[in-house]
Amino acid sequence: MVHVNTFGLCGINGYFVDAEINITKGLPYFDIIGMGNIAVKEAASRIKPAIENLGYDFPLGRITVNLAPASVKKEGAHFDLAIAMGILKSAGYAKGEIDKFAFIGEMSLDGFLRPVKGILPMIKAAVQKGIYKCVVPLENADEASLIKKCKIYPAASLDEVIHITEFQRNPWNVYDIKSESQTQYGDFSDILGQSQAIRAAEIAAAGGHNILFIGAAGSGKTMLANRIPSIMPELSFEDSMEVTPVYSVLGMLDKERMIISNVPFRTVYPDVTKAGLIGGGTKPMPGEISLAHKGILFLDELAEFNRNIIQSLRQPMESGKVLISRCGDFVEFPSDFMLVAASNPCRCGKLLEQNGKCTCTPIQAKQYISKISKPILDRIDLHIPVRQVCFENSNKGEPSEEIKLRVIKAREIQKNRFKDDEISLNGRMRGKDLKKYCRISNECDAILKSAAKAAGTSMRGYEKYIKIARTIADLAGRTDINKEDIAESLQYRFLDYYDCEESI
Amino acid sequence: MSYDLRIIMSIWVTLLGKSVKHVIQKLKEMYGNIENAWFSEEGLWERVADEELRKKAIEIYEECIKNGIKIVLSKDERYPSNLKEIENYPYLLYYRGKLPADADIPEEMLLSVVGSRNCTSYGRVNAYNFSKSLAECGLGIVSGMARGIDAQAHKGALFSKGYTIAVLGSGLGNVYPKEHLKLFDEIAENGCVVSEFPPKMPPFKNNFPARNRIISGLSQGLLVVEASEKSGAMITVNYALEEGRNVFAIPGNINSEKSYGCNFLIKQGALCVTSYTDILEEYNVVCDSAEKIRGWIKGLEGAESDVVNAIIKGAFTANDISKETERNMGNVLSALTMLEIKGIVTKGFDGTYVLKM
Repeated sequence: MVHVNTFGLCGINGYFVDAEINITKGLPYFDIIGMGNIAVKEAASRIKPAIENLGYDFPLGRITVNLAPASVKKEGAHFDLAIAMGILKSAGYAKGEIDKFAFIGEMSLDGFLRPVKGILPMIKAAVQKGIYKCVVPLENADEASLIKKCKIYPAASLDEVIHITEFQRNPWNVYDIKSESQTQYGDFSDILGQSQAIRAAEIAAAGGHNILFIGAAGSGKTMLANRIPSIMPELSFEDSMEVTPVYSVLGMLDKERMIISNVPFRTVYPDVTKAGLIGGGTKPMPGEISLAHKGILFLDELAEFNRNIIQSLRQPMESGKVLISRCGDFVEFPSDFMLVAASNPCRCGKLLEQNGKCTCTPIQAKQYISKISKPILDRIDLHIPVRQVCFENSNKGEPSEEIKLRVIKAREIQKNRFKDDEISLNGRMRGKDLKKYCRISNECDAILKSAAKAAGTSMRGYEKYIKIARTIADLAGRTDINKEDIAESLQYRFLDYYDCEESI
Repeated sequence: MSYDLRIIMSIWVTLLGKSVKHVIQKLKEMYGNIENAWFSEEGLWERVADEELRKKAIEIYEECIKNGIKIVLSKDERYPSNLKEIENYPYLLYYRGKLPADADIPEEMLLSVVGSRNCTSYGRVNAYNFSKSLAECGLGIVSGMARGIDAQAHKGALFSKGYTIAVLGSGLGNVYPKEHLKLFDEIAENGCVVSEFPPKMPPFKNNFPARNRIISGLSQGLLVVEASEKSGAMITVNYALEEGRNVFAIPGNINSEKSYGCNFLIKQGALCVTSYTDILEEYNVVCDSAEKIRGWIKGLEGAESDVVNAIIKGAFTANDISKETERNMGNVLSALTMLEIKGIVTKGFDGTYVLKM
């Protein structure tokens, strides 16, 4: 009996699978057990012709393959290579020490290897298991070699795999990791006359605050949202290694993009399904919120989303990860994203425009905004009105590069502040953190209270104002929140006024 | 509980037919006077013979007493004399609060403020500010307590603790729109809510043009704040012109559909007002609060004074103000908050900024 090391995928985590191959005398028979799905079962029909087409005799007898742990469901065709190697070893064709290696790959009928999805998390699991040599399909070599501790031996065919195990060969050498080509996000200086919204975007990016743009179609909401990544710092290598596996299991990595180093930006429209947004499926797969991990999730037309779907964002936004349970198994995906949303102010969208073309009654307009789920709105710190600008007399904004420098500085200040905490951004602060880090003077407190009184709003947003003020102070490099910061923060929560009875 | 038969009979008369004038004429021809008709058992006119109507009149009367709704008859001295000048004035009024006669407001000091329900923040802010300043100078503000301009006019008057009358198109026991219940109570406490309809009357569509004639009838002048061409406010204007009232209009953006009505009126010869002092002049009232505010603005420094100047120059969004003052956005926004706290600037529901004067 032969043991072969291979790995399975559960969500975006790999786990060790011990493929046991046993050949006994009897009528020819080939069975694969261990809760495999159809793709696993069909390995039998792929492996037999593959071995024969390479010129070896397929061993006669009862072949039983057990993928242990036998009680975990297994999916995918990447167990092929391990099973094939086990059979070749049992039959005496492969003479090397195959137990030093892990084998991952799908077979074609003529004995060549096909690339597989999710190679990165599987190699990660191999290192954790203490296996430092892995044979992978050639196309997956670059991705696999992101894990530096593991020696990667790419192979094109089964023959080559046998050769690798028998003779010394140098592992795959990656000269430089091909990161994403710097995608063109666009630049904030392209946008004319939206300085309030751009300033708000700067604050949002610096403090990781969730932000909502409200304005008519064509006022530039999407344009603003698209440019927010251009002022965010690039992902650190650690962050990249958290994000890349998500793209890996979905097969979204390719030669041009081996590692996700740019801030992910995912746009979601109201026709998204719950599984598409949160993740799910019979075989749990990450959704858009996990693809937006460490980046931005942009919900366009927030008021048009199905309420249930929006509600399901609550738990992931709260905890930074999403738990999906399927048949008693739990799968966890990361989902620590910044939410950017855009919405019309009313059904026709023209409520905020000065030309008086809005055809909605005041009640209809209020109803439209109130379609946005309250719990989600409570998690959005900034709401900014965006109006159409006339091009003739608008000045150009600041280039993104300059804003980015300030954002990076503010983020460093925050990193220092939160070095003993679980959080790293102002936008994630909770009640106790606010008390600890955001002492405000009595003067500031008085401003907050009198502003609420002057505008007739409730003090529901009290903590949010302080959070925003904290980020404003960080952007300016101040340790204390002063009264200008508080005063400025009071202008960033448009819907607080919109909702209140007293506003005129 | 003592019943005032005189009032019950009047209620009964309003129930007999749509045009009270014709009803009284008919009653007089047939019975001599109203009292005879009430006690008459002769069925000369089938509606008079109908006992149900008498019962209903008593029911309405009882309900008014129960809910603290008072009734004034056109024969009474306290009945607004302005209203009596118009043709087809209401035979009786249901009201809560103080009639102008009770509140010591001379009727020459009443001004109606009207406009669209569906309005822009420009209109809302003007309705509020004009009413606030005018009420401060002693004018009483009459309006219809509808959404939009009307409600802002009442709120402005209430803010400066002035007198205000709301004329409803429904019964006083059936306040419409419902979200103005709080406003309704406030007006009833500090001013007067009036309706010619019995308390349980629902807000039928036809009630509103009738209501509008009372709005214009109660006052000496009519201020149209913001109205589109088809606005109900234009009906009020027609009544006001028929009744010989002054019509004032605030000009608006010529490109805004919501201002077509006002601009049209100005073209037709309505008095164009750009400040509440224009109306004060017409009412022969001297008031010095404008000076006070100008003094305030002079006392401002740095960003705050720049921002106020930019708003005066016509910038109303944060973007425009920042451009006009050439200051950075953070600076402008914090100055705006401080000005809001000082009560100099106010934010419209659509996030635009306006001077609060």
